[in-house]
Amino acid sequence: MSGSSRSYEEEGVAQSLRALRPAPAAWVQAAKELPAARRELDGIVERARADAAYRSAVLKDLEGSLRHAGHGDDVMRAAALRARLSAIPQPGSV
Amino acid sequence: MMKAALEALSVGELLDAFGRQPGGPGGGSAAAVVVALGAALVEMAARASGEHWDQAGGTVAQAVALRDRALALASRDAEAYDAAVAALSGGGDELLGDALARAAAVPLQIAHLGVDVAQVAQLTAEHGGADLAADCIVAGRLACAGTRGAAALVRINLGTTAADPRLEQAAELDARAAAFERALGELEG
Amino acid sequence: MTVREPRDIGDAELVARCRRGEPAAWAELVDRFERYVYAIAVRGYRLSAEQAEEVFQEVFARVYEHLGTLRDDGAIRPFIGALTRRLAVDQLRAGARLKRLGDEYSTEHDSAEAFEAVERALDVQEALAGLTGECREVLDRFFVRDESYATIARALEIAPGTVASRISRCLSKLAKELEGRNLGPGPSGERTR
Repeated sequence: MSGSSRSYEEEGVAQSLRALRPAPAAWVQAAKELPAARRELDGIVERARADAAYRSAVLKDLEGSLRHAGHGDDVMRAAALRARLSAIPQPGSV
Repeated sequence: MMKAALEALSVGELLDAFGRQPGGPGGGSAAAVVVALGAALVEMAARASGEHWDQAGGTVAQAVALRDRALALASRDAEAYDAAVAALSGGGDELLGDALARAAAVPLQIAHLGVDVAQVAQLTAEHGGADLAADCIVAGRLACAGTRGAAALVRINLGTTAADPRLEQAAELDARAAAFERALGELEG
Repeated sequence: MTVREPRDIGDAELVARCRRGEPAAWAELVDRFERYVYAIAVRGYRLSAEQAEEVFQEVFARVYEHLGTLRDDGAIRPFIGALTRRLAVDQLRAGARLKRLGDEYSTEHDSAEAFEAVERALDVQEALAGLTGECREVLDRFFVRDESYATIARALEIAPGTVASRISRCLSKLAKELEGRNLGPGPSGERTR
C-alpha cells in the first residue's frame, strides 16, 4: 500500500457543512410568520401595557393566556408574547 | 441497538451481537454495516491517493459522510424491525402491514447508500493509486452486496403489496448494483 | 428547503430592511440564521427537541422585538449567537439536565469545542453562499440534506455518474474560497456526529 494517510482541507469543510443542519421546517416557517402572528397578539399586549397585574398574570401562564384568547398551544406565539411583554417598561424603571 | 452502541463495539462484539443476541440486529443492519465497511475502504484508498489525484480530498469527505450515514441506518433498521415485531405480537393484520411497510423504508435507504458507495469505489479504483485498486474493488463489491441484500428485504417486507412503488425502486437499485459489479469485474483486469 | 441564492446584501443592510418592514426581509433573516441558532441549541448545548424549539422561537421573537434598538446592525450575528447561548443556558438551569452536568453549568464546559465548530460552520455556510448555483446545490444536497447521488442527479438534471466528481470539485472550490477569506476549515479528520 503506497501513499501516506493524510487529512485534507476538504474534509474539515465537509464536516462544517454537515454541522449546520436545517432546523425543522415547521419551526422555520413559524419564525417567519412572527410578524403576522405578532399582530394577533396586539390585544393582549395593549392590555398588559395598561395593567401591570394583568401583565404579571399573563407572564406567569403564557400558554394559558394564549389558549384563553383562542390562539391554542403555539411555541412561536408564546415566545413572541413573552418577548413583547418583557419589553414593556415597568413602573419606576428608566 | 442504538448507533452509539454499535460504534462502541469491537469487531468480535459486533459479530456476537449479530450471532448470539436474541432480538439483536438482523439482515438490514448487517447490510448497512457492510456498506459502511465499503465506504471506510474507499476513504482509506482516497486518502492515500492525494499526491496524484486532485479529487482525493473531496472523495475522502464523501466516503466519510456515506460511512456515517450507513452506520446510522444500521441502528435505525434494528429499531424499525423491533417496531414491526411489536406490531406482530400486539396488533392486527393492518397494523403489521403498516409496520412492515415502514420497515421497508430503511432497507431502501440502505440500498441507495450502497450504490453510492459503489460509485465512489469505482471512481477511486480508476483514479486513485494503482496499488489501492484492489481495495476499491473489494469496497465496491461489499457495497453492492449491501444494496442487493437490502433490496431483498424491501421485496420481502412489502410482501404482497405489488403496487408499492418502492418495489420498483428496489428492483432498479438491485440492477444498478449488478451493473456496478460488472464494471468492477472489468477493473480486475 | 431550497438552497438560497447568493447573498446580495450584508447583515447590516438586511437588518435595516427588516426594520423598514420590507417584504421578505424578515424571512431572509430567519433563513440566514436558522441553522446557526439550531446548531447552538442542539450541538452546542444538546437540548432536547422541545427545549430547542422553545429557544429557537424565543431567539427570533426577541430579535424581532429588538430590531429597533440594536446598537450595531452589522453585529447581528454575535447578537443572535449570544442570545441563543443565554436562552439555552436558561433552559438547562430550568430543566432536569442540570443533574447530568453536575451541580453547576459552566459555559467553559467541554462544549467550547462544539461552539467553535458551530461558528466555523456558519463561516462555511456564508462562503457556500458565494459559490455558483450548481456548486451550492450539490454541496448542500449531499452534505447537509444527505441526498443520494441519484436524487441529486435528477434534481440538477446531470448524469448520475458525474455527481461524485462534481461534489469533489465544488468542495475544493469552497475550501479555496475559505482560504481566500483567511478562514481555515478547521481541524479535519474528526468525525461529525
